[in-house]
Amino acid sequence: MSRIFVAFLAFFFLFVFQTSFIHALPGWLMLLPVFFAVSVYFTQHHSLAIGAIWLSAYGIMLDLLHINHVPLEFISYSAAGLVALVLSRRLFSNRSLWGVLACGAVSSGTLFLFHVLILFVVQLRAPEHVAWNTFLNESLVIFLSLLLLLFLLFQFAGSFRTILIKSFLLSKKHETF
Amino acid sequence: MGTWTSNQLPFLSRGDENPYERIKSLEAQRNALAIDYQELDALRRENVNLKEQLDFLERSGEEAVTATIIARTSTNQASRFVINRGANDGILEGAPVIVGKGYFVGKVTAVGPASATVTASTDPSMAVAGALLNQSRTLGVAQGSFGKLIRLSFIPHDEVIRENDLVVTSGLEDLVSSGLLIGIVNKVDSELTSPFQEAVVEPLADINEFSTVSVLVRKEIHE
Repeated sequence: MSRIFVAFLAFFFLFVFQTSFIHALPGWLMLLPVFFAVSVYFTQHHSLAIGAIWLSAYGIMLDLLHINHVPLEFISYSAAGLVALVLSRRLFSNRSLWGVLACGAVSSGTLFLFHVLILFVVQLRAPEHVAWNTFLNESLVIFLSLLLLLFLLFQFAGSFRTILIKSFLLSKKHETF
Repeated sequence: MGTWTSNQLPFLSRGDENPYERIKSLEAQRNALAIDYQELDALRRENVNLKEQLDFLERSGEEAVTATIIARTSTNQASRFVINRGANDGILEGAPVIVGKGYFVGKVTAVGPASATVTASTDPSMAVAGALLNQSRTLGVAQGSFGKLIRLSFIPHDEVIRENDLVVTSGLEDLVSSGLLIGIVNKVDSELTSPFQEAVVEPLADINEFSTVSVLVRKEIHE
């Protein structure tokens, strides 16, 4: 029960941090995908399914509050979360930096792919609402920032593990690196 | 050796503290002052914005609900934000949102009981009836463009538009009063092959610089 409560609190904190703080920063800093990076990092490096659930919940919240970049974010973020979860369990090594980066890259690619599909449908109905150049430029910045953030998060793996154990999100026996 | 001796005999030095501790204490004071300055600066900006909003509301006789931005999405493709006021405070879908001296920054596009989502005037999905403050009060549709610009479209070719003309809301929409400042004409696109002219408008306020906004509510509706 306490684990669910902590997971909910952490989700709420990260969501507010991303939508209130990061999105208010100037220039390209507003594009930093901190929420996405933390979720993917926990899913891959610490093998925590909660990261994938956070991604799905993030999409739901964006849709509920109507602050989505692209319509139906729930579908895109759920797909990205699912891909991250499957990759962390079946394909990439949880221990290595390359595993974390690869998981981040593929799940971010999945999000991008779903965004492209949804924008394509939007373009059929309202072409003036879609600017592919802008979308591609921003997606590239987000992708590169994600890799940088995952690299930074990886450097503090020990501290994160301690925090996760203290906050009941991870048991001491659970070791993925 | 001399430093070591000096550190061991602090009563011989000029101050009561040794230099290391004094530097630490001064650094802590400096950090605290820097934080205070940041807070003061943020409060000063908020104060100026709120004063300007109040001046505008008193001058125009409009009624407004002041709200704080609690979440936002802001890219070059979409610019929306969530405010901490909703239907319980009399906010309706389509109500205009202003900052500073009455600068129009967007319209309410979704309302919940205690919160509402505002789509900024620069969002491509946002359109508002606009008018140029020129001699003929040319009407057009001000629609968000990609980036931080607005396009005023559907302007007939016989209308004369000049750079630096002001663009305001025309008042043709139910809840949006006329005369709210949208922006200033930056460039005019007048192609003879196209049935209408277009003007690129630069907004007078960037919503990213504000944390407090006012939602205009019609008196009779609010009551």
